Amino acid sequence: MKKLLCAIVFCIFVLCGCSGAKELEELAYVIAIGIDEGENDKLNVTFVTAIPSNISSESGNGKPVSCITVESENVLSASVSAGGKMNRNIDFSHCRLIAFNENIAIKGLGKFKKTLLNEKSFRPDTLISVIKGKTSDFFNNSSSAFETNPAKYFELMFGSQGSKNAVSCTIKDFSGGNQSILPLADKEGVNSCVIINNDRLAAVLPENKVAIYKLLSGKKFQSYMDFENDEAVLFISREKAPEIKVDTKNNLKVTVTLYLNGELIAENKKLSHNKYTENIKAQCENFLEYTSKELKCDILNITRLTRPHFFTVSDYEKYNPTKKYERAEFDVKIVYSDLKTGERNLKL
Amino acid sequence: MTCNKIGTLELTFLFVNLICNKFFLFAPEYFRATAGSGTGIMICLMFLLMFAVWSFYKRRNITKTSFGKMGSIFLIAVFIFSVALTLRQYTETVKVISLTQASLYFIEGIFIIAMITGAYSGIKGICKAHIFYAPLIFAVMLILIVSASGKLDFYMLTPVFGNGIQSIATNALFLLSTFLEFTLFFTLKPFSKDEKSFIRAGNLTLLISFAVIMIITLCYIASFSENASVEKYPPVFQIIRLINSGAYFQRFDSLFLIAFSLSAYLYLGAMLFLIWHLFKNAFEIEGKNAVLMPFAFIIISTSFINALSDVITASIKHVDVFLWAIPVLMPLLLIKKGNKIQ
Repeated sequence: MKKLLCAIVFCIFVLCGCSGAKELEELAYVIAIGIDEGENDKLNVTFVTAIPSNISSESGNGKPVSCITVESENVLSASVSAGGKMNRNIDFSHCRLIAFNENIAIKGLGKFKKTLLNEKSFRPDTLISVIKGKTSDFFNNSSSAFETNPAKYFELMFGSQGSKNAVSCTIKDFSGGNQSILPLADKEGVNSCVIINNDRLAAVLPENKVAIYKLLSGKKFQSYMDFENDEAVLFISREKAPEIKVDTKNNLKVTVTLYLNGELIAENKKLSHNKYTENIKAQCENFLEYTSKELKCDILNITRLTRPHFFTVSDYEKYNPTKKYERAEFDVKIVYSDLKTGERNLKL
Repeated sequence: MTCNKIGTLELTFLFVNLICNKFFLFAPEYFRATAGSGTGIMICLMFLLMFAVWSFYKRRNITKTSFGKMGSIFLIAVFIFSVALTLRQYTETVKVISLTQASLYFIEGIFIIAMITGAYSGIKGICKAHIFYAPLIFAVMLILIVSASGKLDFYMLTPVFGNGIQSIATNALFLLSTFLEFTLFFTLKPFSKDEKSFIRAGNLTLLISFAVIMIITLCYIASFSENASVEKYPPVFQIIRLINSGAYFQRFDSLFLIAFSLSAYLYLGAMLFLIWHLFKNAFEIEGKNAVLMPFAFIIISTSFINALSDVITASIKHVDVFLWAIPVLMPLLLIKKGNKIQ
């Protein structure tokens, strides 16, 4: 009996190998997906698939990607149609970017969340963005002189945290709540961000506000900040993550302490950094006031910091932090220290 | 019997795997749905209750190995349903996350063979396999979960009392059903080297299970809000998918699958053996593996019932009301009256 069982176990491990095999030549690896409005409430879904031979060839003949646009009700059913057109099975396991057209974002992105979460081959760290104009045009015209690998190109463009005007957002961040901040790109690249509130595009943030958002959210940040009608430039780098304290007695009070290193670059050596840090402080407070009172959106997820102040969920819900946040008072403190000699170069 | 003696760690890891195994499936999600952000306190309370139960029994002289005929039949029925449901869950999970094109019966076949082979290898074989693989499985799982800890938001674990102290206390009592398999721990006393070794194994089992359950459940709650979690994927699988550090340190899904399947093989083999062991003790059956195959067939055919999970999900509210009493009260049947260990 034991021998028979051993034989069966052995057969199971040896004979089941190829039943669900996927051959590389039979697959089309999608590296980016663009979603545009179609006719009759349908979607125009653009699949950007990699052409491995063109990526690896040194001569640079031909484009490294091919784009195909399909009209459908849903992204996943569109992938079936696209696969049929390409005579290959679509594979999302290397997909790095999902881009929505601006109009789709205005109408609402909520319906895409379940699709993105449920399809296993989308990784939780796949990037999400909004594109001005048609995504199909964006993908057809996008190319970089620096990068032949298109997946890396999109990763650098939309996943970059270092640059002043770029934020990144992944499927996990996007699906986790009703509010998120997504990079906004046009044919020239990423130059601002959009705030998504209740799954709809609520506002477009200009470049300088994106920098403020990055400072407040504690993302790694270093950049040169310039100020209106002023020739001085301030090099700013985050020393450590900001400290955010909330006071839940009566009205919500939020105190944010930013720890910054910096260096003032100006012709006039006598200029002090105080004027500029005061400017940053004012910009931070304006940003918080703007997002909380005008947009009614807790983009920094500050309300979650009030959770430890309560013992039970019912106490927390009774306090209603979302409503309280719309009337919250903000105080931003900046702890600034000058970069020491050589430190700036090391950081760069 | 002397050649069948099992050591402290062997017994410990056998029961750690039996108790914690469901946390590789959907138990963390069930815990979150029950207690929300109060899950941490609820788990602590649950283990305090279980330690109290264990402290009560370990001082008593447990000499019987059978729960009596009626008691054993009741327990066997409960465990057959529980194992059949778990077998079905394993099969469906593997189909969803890995062998998407294989038929459900083919995947279940692999688990069934592992179950029967495991049970036939006897208590010594099962324990040897557990002491080798179980620490490895838990170490791999915990390392992977901790690797994803950069993505955790510990504010999700507050307010610490979740839906209120009363709700936490009630649910902690009902969720003692998590220790259903621990009821069988007492029946293995004759295999233990001595009294001390048995007590130490019990203490260690509860302590290690507490650590594993706490880490897995809290990491899941801290990494996924209710909106972002996906019902059809096991929580641990979802956490592991978050690991992404650079181009190479990512995509550990397959490692999860290996650890998950190994844990399932060990669980199924051990449970089939223990069900047979219960039956053998109750009806004093001689002959080594006489009724092992019939039990295997009952479990297999039960798990093939397509509506099984629906039936159990529908009745889970009623089942939960009494299921907690099994690990708490059933061992009373094993105590000889008036005896206390000096």
